[in-house]
Amino acid sequence: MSCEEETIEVEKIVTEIDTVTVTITETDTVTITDVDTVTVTDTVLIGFAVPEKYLFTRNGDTTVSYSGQTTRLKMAKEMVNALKDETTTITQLLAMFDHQEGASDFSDADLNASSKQVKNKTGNNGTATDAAEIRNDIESWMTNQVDSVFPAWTDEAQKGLAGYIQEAGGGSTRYVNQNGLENNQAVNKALIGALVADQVLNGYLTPAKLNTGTNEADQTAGTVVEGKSYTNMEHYWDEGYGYIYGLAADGTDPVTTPGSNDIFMLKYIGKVDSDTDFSGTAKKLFTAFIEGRAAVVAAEFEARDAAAKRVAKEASLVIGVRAAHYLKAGQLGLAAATPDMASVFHDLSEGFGFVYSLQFTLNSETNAPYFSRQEVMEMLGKIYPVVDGKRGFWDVTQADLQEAATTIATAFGFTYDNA
Amino acid sequence: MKNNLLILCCFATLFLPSLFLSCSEDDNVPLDQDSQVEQDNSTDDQINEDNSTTDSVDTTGSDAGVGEEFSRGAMLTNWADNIIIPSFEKFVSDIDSLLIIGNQFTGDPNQVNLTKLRESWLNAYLSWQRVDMFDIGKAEEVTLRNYINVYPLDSDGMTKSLLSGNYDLASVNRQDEQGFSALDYLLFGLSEEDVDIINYYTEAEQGDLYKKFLIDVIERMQYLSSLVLQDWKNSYREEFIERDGSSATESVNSMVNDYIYYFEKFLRAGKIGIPAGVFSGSPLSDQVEARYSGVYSKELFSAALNASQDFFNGVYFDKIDTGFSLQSWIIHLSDSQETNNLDQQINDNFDLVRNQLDNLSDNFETQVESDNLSMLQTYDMIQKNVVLMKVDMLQLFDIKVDYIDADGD
Repeated sequence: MSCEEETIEVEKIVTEIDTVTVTITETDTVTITDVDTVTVTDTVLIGFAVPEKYLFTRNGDTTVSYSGQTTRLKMAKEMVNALKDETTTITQLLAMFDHQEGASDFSDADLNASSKQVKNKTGNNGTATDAAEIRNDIESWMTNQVDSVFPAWTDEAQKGLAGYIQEAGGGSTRYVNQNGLENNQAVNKALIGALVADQVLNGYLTPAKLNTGTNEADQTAGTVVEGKSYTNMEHYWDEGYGYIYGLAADGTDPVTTPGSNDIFMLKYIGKVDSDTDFSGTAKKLFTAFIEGRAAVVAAEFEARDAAAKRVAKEASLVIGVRAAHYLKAGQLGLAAATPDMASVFHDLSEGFGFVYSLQFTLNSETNAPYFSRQEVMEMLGKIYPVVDGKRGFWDVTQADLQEAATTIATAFGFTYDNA
Repeated sequence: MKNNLLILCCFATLFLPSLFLSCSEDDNVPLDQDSQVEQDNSTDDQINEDNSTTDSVDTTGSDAGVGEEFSRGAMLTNWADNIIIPSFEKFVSDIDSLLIIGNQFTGDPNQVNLTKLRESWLNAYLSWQRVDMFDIGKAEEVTLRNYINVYPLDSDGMTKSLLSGNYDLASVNRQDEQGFSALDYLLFGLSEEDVDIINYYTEAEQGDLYKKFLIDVIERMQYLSSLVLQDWKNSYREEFIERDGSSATESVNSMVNDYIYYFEKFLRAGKIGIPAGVFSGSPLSDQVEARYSGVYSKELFSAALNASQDFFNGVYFDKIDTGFSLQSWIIHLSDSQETNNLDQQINDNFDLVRNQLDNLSDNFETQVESDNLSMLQTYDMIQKNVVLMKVDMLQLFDIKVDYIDADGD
């Protein structure tokens, strides 16, 4: 059926003319008419059926499966939460990261029984050298948390000294290292890139992965994996999907029903979407996923890859927007006459993790991340300076924060004001 | 009361020039609401204000008076001279009294002095309800509210700080260990019996630490509130009134946002919603304002409610006269557009909330525990005014909300 149809790309140009009439009356009546033209370009794919929800079946059986991704997200979430419990040991944390089947690393027995692991899926789509460094980064933040922050849990944080610091007005208490960084935030937000974005954008949704072995021929012929209802290619696509939506309350309709279990990408898709400058992002990302999946079913590989590019664009944008947003929030916080340093540190710690995650984004026009690992590390050195006696967020300048946020915004095509 | 007046006079002499200025303006402004409406309706020349772009009407704003059309500047002048500055004067004078009486108590901790100090505390606490909403200028700069009235108190942290004898009340970490709620605890909450409370201050080993902390807390309140009042009198009044444009950073937009933010977060959520469990699922009765004394939570709320309504209507501090206000602005706009009697709707709803107070116990903690439904109903009534002001009124005024809810993580 649809296999024989061609994929047609139609460029739909929608032009909206917004007319605003402003009347100012002083002595005479002056009428100023300001005409603003908005051009919206949208690509519409035609040629195969696209369901409304993420529901795909073969002979009545669902072909969608991403339980392994849900498991990893749950493991990562337990690990992040353990960083906020000062009785956790480094051995426990490293074991949660590097889980071995059957080991009692988690509170959830299903996770303990699982053969899945977070560490071996963290930052593993680049070079082996980078992967080792990325895992080392995450383990070093965990180690710093246990070695420096936990022992200072009841001490007041000071420049150069770890401890607690409370947000203004009797607000939340934050636990920061000697340089004002919340290690738990660094780990949490870095995993949005290193685990989620990397697996999706640089792993499962790439043509290289999707076309592995005889996948294209199998897809065209409808050859399923032995004992399963899905093909290899369908499953790969769904595994990518699962890293983003695996903890959604309703995985078939995560835009309407995201729930509140996720603490990684899905959570921040919602935050970006609720910013009027970026409203529609959640829908665009989900639509790209579902159209790409429908294209896989139809063995329309060009349409599939076009959809994957849109996934890359929107998912990368989420990381870019949040990175710039938190740096800007920190800058505005520092600008206050009486800065609320705990809030500033909290914003900047989230920002730190999102900036770190930029190295895992994918600009499908250049087929490279929006910021390379080297660029990311240089940027972190500016927003979290720890050389020449500088004490990270205690010493960062508003100018450096604004510059970094503007650099990020520009790369993604928005502005500092939008962030 | 005599004491307060005396101190007010002493304090006022320090600022004679500016006081004269504001007094002479007071004389110009005795407008009652009815005549004001007439004024608004009778003058329809000059200003056909399309508030989306114009800088409103600049009448330099310094002499709001009879015969004058509504303008942002006139409203700002009324706010500053007839409401904000007199309210801060009263608050600072009450804090000055509190310090004097606090020193009497620590000089001689006995039942009489404890009772006097509690009365003085309540007096100042009620005055605070009249300035809490003015989180602008120096108050915003020093984050006055965060040092004066954070509750619930971190009583464990406070006691730890107190007993260490070594604390920095200027630290943000200590904001929930000071202010009115710390005094509430120190004067009412240390023990069930007054004699045992007094013992904390006379006890050989730690009594001096309690005395010192009590005075340190009051002195910090005095320092910060005086700073704010002085700034209004020295320079901020002029700046506040001069910034009479319509952009987001000008005084009217800032003050209106501060007012609604206060009404939403501190009056609605802080005093009613949080204890009633609106945001937590289950009630948090121990998070009421002034929980240790117990019986004042309704009185404090009532004072805040009256202050909010008086500000809306431009009622002079401690007087029945009114000047240009949010209410008269709505009436002014009703000449040129449909307002659906929004001013009346808001006032009616304020009155409904006030009537509802008859159904509530003086002690909100016991109210939440015995009959939380009445608290929730009160919340819903207040919420109606949040919507009327934050949505309908701001739309009418073409003012954008300048705050967003926190991230929540």
